[in-house]
Amino acid sequence: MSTAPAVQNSGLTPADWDQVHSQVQAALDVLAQRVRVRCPAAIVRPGGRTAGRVWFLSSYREFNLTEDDTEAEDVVAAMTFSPAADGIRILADIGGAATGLTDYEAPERFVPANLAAVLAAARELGEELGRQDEVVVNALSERRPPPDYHKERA
Amino acid sequence: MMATAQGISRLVYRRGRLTEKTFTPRLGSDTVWRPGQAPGLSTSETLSLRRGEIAQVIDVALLQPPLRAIPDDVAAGGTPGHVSITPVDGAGGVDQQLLDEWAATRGHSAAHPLTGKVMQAVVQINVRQAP
Repeated sequence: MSTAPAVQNSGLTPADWDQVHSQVQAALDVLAQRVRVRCPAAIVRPGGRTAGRVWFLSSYREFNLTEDDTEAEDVVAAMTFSPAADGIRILADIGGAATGLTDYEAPERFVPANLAAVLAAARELGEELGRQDEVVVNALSERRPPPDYHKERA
Repeated sequence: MMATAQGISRLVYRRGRLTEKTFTPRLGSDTVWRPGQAPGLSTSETLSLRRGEIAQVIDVALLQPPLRAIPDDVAAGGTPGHVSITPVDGAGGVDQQLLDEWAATRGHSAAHPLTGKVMQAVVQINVRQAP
């Protein structure tokens, strides 16, 4: 018997999620600009997105001080949309790409599963994320190494 | 705890965030054999997080071929609880060429299909250590 969670219907179309992703990326553009002002050496990677069985969209931007992330992990600013009991849960956060350490997290939002509600919440959370340039720069300055799974437990 | 036919936990943990890189092995460190440990994307059967850290939960039973979860052989020098997610060939051995191809895409804009297969096996996101 499978206990795998079923892939849930978000109530939004793929085109709707493209629109949400674009809006989040616009907010992350603002964050990236502010990070570059505060730290001109910061490298901002192109915007990314993922989706899976238990999340509809994670739209993100990765930051580092080097092109390579072997010595120090990327710092990720992201907004993630996942199923909730009566709608969609939205989490906006900033943290280590590989360690999973969280540097900033906005209070979670729960919204009805319709495009207007999702975009409105994403806009507000995007504005919050866009103001967290100091969090990103501080996290970058720590140069946190990625976890070594080969030597220790995850 | 649910287990697979191989005797490992069905659920394994991968620290980090929901990015493509998190679900793609690193070229070099994740593509070489170590004593008692197959190369591949590293995960752990146990969750050991510090305060403020998050991890993603993968159900290895949902991994689609050619991916397979291979636990370390502790007696041969592997790490207890470490599980490698790696592509295998028809004989069940690690498909090193495919693994290298997969790892070579890490950080590039077009994610490898195997990265997508791992993400489709994620059953719980952003878990934290219980207080």
